[in-house]
Amino acid sequence: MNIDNNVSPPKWSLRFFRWYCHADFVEDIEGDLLERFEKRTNENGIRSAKMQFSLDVIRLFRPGLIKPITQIQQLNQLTMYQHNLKIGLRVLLKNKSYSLINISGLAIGMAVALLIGLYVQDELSFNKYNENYNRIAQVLVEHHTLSEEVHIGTSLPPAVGSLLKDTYGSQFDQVVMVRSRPEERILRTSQGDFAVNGYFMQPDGSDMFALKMIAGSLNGLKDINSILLSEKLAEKLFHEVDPINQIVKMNGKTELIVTGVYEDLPRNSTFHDASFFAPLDLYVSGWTSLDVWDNFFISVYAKLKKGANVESVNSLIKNELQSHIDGSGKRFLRLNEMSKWHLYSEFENGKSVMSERLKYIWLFLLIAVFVLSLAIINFINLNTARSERRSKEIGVRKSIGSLKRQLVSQFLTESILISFIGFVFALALIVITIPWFSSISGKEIILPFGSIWFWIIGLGTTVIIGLMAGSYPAFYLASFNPIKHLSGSTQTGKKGALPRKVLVVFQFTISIVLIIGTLVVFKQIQHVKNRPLGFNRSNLLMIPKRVGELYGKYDVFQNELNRTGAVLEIGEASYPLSNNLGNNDGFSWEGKDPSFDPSFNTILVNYDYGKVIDWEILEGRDFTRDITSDVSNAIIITQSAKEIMGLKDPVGTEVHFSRGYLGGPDFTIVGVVNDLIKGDPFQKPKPAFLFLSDNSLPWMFIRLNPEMNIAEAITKVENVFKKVTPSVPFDYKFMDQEYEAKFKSEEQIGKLVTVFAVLAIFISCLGLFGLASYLVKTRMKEISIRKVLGASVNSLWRLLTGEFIILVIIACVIATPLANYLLDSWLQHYDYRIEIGWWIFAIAALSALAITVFTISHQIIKAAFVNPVKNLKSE
Amino acid sequence: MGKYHLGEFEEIVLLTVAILKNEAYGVAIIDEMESRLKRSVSIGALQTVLRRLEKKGFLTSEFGEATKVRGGKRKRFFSITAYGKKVLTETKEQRLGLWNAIPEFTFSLLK
Repeated sequence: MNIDNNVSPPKWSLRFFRWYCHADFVEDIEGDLLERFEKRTNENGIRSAKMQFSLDVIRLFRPGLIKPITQIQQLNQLTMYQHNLKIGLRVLLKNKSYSLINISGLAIGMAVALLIGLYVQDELSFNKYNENYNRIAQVLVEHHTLSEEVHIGTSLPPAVGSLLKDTYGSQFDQVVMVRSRPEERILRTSQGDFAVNGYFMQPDGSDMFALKMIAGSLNGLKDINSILLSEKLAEKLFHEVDPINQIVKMNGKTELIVTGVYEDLPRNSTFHDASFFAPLDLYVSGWTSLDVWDNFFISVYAKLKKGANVESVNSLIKNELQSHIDGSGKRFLRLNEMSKWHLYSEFENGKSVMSERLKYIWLFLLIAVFVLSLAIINFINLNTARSERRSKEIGVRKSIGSLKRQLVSQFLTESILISFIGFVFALALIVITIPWFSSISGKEIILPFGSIWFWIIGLGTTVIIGLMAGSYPAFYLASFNPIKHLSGSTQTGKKGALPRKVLVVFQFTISIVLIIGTLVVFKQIQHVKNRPLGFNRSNLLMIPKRVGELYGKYDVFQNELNRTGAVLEIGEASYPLSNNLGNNDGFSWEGKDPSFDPSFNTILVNYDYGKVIDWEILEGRDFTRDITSDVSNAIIITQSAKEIMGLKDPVGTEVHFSRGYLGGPDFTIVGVVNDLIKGDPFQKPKPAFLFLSDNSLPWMFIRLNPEMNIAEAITKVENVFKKVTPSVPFDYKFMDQEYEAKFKSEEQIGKLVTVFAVLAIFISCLGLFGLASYLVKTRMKEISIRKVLGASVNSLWRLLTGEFIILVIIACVIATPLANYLLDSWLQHYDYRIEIGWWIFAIAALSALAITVFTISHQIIKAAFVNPVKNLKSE
Repeated sequence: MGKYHLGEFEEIVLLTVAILKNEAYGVAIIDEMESRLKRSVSIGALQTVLRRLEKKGFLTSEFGEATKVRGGKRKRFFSITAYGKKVLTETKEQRLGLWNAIPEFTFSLLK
């Protein structure tokens, strides 16, 4: 009888039965069930039959009849994976050169991505060593000037710190004041003299900044004559001796007791540049106190109480500074949390802007993604191009029953396999290059082999990369029509040609942008290095007079040094030539807009300063001993000061200074000099006033005789110092080296970008090499026939390279405006910058073309020289 | 006696398969048992026993031809093996032996 829909057994029961029943029994038992069902339908009606059917199905659910729990299907799949893996390995080994290209490309790409990942991780974990990370904040001062500008500063008068500590105990666990910048001191022990940097801070600081004490007490700075040493410094100062309770002599006069040694702070932390911490009381003792409101030289840090809200604390402390001081404009306080110090503390007119560091993080992440994608593109291109090679295999597999899904999994297994091998090589590459990468990135980066997360992320990414690289080729290959491929009349390589070309253009666009980037970065650095500084920096020594003995002996030094013949000039000033410290506002002059109160760099200099630094006088005259009123009355201004003051004829103009401490308070401008570039050489010059002083000043400058060998000249100078001040260590800096040091971060970026550019080009060329050699192979017969018909090697070469050259030219066309846009916005950060000339693009385009031609020509010429008979006689 | 002990239900199934000879498949066996013994048999119970007996070697089975009925599913025909026959005979003899050993009076008493 026929079963129509009405008299069919309950679907769910049947499905359930089929699901659990052992495969060997399912057919005949199902038959029995149906037979009984039909019979019962006829006898008892459909309803009862259905019930009985379901009941039977449930009764059949017995150990002897159901499927074994260890399923047979799973075993089959395992074998399939084993098979896939085996075939994958065979394919790898069979095409050694392609495998090499794929694996080395992926390995390099992954190594770059991993290194950048570690770099970013290091940046993001800045200061995180501190267990109070989430509760520490620095007090910032927002200065709203009369001209509506907002400057953010970190230097505060110490009285603010004292006030916050005393008044706001309910908000803060601790308030700690620290001297706003590291101070260099000479520390003397039995091991000798060492010039080292350290911070002066209040005793609670060691707890707030989570110093890990190796020896001694965390509370070691309670006593004014104490010092905490870093592990490294302690080792340097005392070698084998236990440093605790030993004496250290600071700057030759103050004896300090070592009360503790702390573990060196990690490199990615704010105070890592400190080798010691000394009491702030010691710093201020003798010249000021912690209750002054008119001297901004302190940073204030606070540890918030648990659960305290930064915003509400901000509104509480906002006016605590303004109500105690005068001066133009308004100054408000607010907190800046520790999590923002490193990457979110650049401000423009009071608003937080994206910091340079954060930009570099994004830039590097972008580069990581691009370099990796270049490697993935190689994989895709080579696999789709070479698909013809495997079309027979695919045809056979499909005709004997392979599903598309199975083929895809086969190809994905292969790509994941390659990806894993690449990962292993990438790890090896990183182990080799990490010391070098650490040194050029200025970081202490280690491979976290011990971290589970590193492996999870690393291996996870490997699988993802394998899937990304493999999925397009896998679906592309698996979609082949078996009949076409087995009949042998196929041109599968052609089908994927357009996407392949697009990908090659993409690769070269990135490479060319990176080449242009490298050129521009180095050109810019070179440009700034050659910037006229307003003084002559070669053969110029700067000597910081740290010790009292060096003061008051200027004439003696001058006579003695001149007699050696090693020295041309000497001079003195209150600040070195390598920074823009010492700034003041509060100047007024005739014709000044009352609301305009610019800040000037103010330096005290002696009579010989101009001669020793070799400045250029544009108007007026230099200071001279002949006019006695020059001292504390005459000033020399720089060109940019003249411009900012709006003076046409500045010489003779009177300038009034509202604070008394530079002499005066009324001055007359006697001369104008070229701008002195002492600070950041990338930025526009800081307007400066130079005041004449006849006191001893803290920095001495010595111009060495260029005709004498430098080492010899230095020795002679040192001998003079040994003679005049025997107990003082001779310490000096070369101005030109100091200047070079200012390019450190730009040069780091430059080097990193260069490395990435080279790698990007290398990976792109690997891919191109593979593509070229493959295409040549498939066109061997064509080449041979052309040769037989009289084509020259030259014309063949042109024919075959042409295709690639067009792609590279398209890439150039895309890359040029892109690079121009990106680099132009980079250059906008610098006041002193180059124009991007067309020749940079020309060089980049030509070098990309040259590299392309060089990469593919080898294959093509080799093919063009082969005897055509060889290729034509087969078949 | 051998190590093989046939359960009561196993014995009945074996006997029924023997009765049906070439027509012994699931539903037929059930029908036969139900009509002769007046007891209802579930497919589950029967099938489990059939498979067990087959595994022990008392039965063999083979598929028949597919037909239009039964949703096109083939029947599995069981037949008894020589070994199965031997075990059945042994069981029967054991029973007979036991019957014969019963003393007359008990027998009559029971009657």
